Amino acid sequence: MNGQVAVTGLGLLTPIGRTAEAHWSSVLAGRHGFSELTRFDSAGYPARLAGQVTGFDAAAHLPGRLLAQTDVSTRFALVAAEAALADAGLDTLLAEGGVDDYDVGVITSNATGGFEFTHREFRKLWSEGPKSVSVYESFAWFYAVNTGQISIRHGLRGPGRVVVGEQAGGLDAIGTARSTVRDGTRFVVTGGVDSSFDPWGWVSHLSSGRISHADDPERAYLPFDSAANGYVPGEGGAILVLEDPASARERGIPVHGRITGYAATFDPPPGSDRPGKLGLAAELALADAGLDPADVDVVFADGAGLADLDRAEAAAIVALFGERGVPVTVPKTLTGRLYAGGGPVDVATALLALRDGVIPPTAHISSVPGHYGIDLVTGGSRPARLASALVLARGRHGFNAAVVVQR
Amino acid sequence: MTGEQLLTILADCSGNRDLTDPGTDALHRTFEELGLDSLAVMESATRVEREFGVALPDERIVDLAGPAALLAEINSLAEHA
Repeated sequence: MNGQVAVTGLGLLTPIGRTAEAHWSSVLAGRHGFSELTRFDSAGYPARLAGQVTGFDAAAHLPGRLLAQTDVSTRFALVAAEAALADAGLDTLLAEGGVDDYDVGVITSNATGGFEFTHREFRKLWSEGPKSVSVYESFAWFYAVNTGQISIRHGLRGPGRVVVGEQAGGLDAIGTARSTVRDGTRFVVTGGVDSSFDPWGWVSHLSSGRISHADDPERAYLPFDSAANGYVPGEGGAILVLEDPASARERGIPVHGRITGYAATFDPPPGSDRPGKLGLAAELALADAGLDPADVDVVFADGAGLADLDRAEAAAIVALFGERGVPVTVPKTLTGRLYAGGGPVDVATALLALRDGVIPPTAHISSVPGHYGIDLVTGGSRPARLASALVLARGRHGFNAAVVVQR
Repeated sequence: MTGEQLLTILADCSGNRDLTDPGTDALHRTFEELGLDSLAVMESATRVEREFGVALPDERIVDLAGPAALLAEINSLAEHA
């Protein structure tokens, strides 16, 4: 089918695993990645739990030249991209000149920019003056930097784009990458990565009013639970390689699955009587994939972890699939919400779930209000025959996105 | 300013530690050969200004081939300051 694009590379870096397989084993084992912030002294802050990537040694992966000019979020993105390229065999193909460098694009999403780097440079600006600010601040801070650095490092000269849609943006990047492959670019490196765990970044999370103040890691992020009390921010994300399916077939490379549908919608303004548009995004993505709701085997929900947003998402799912009409899961209960990284990690996790025929559970949930009407997978993994998954994401201020993945 | 001082600044600012390795003979190679883009040189020039009080105009930097030319420019500016 014309709309199908193959996923041939996965690169993950999350609070529960520094590779795709390590992440997936943690998901199945129910290992969460929450702990008190260690990046700065968080005593005195009302919320202190975060999903942090641990044991990551940037210098082991990246040359000094890149360390001097990159924020931690870009370092994560570069390492995830390198893993995705290797997984797809694209690094070898590029080295051998087996692909035109204009035939490989990069389309990523980022929600918070290079906060830690910027915080450090701003501190210099205030205390030492403008001459002390690093020239690299000119690009290290901004949303486009991951696309730029990945493209420069690997010499990828195809379409380069950046999509910003808060926590929905990662799915928008994948959707845009899919269109780009359909339009004739052979490969697109895509996904999203974020990290903003410096004091400035942390305060920006807190200002949303959506962050959990709980100090028990197993009671802090409880989407769809009657005790939902906010979410835990996490860091990291996923980079994927999307490829023209004919190219993947020709190369004989294993395919993780296919991206077959995508849609994005925007909510009405605050205070409007009109309902949110998450359900419409889901519906349009299914139509784009040529699937009926009955064809969907599992939904990876956004899982905001706030009662009103959970209720709205449950209602959208029930409206489309019927009461308890499809298994729903939120594996990000183990990583926290990764901003632009969240959607791509869910897409990668969904692909691994389809591969292994198992729906990973929503961790730490004990009591889902009956009136939500959803079949939330909790407790342990649920074996199932899985051919397709719908992945949902919402970003603050009205962004909704949905992606359909199939085997 | 000595060549060694300049190379240390270039190494710090660019993250390229090889620059201070005597075997590299970095002083007499071009910025391009050393993998130093114009931003890395600009970053180093602001550090020179902070530490040595010699202000190098950005538009001069693009004309300089390598560390030796940069060093000569800095020392000449210092002399005429």
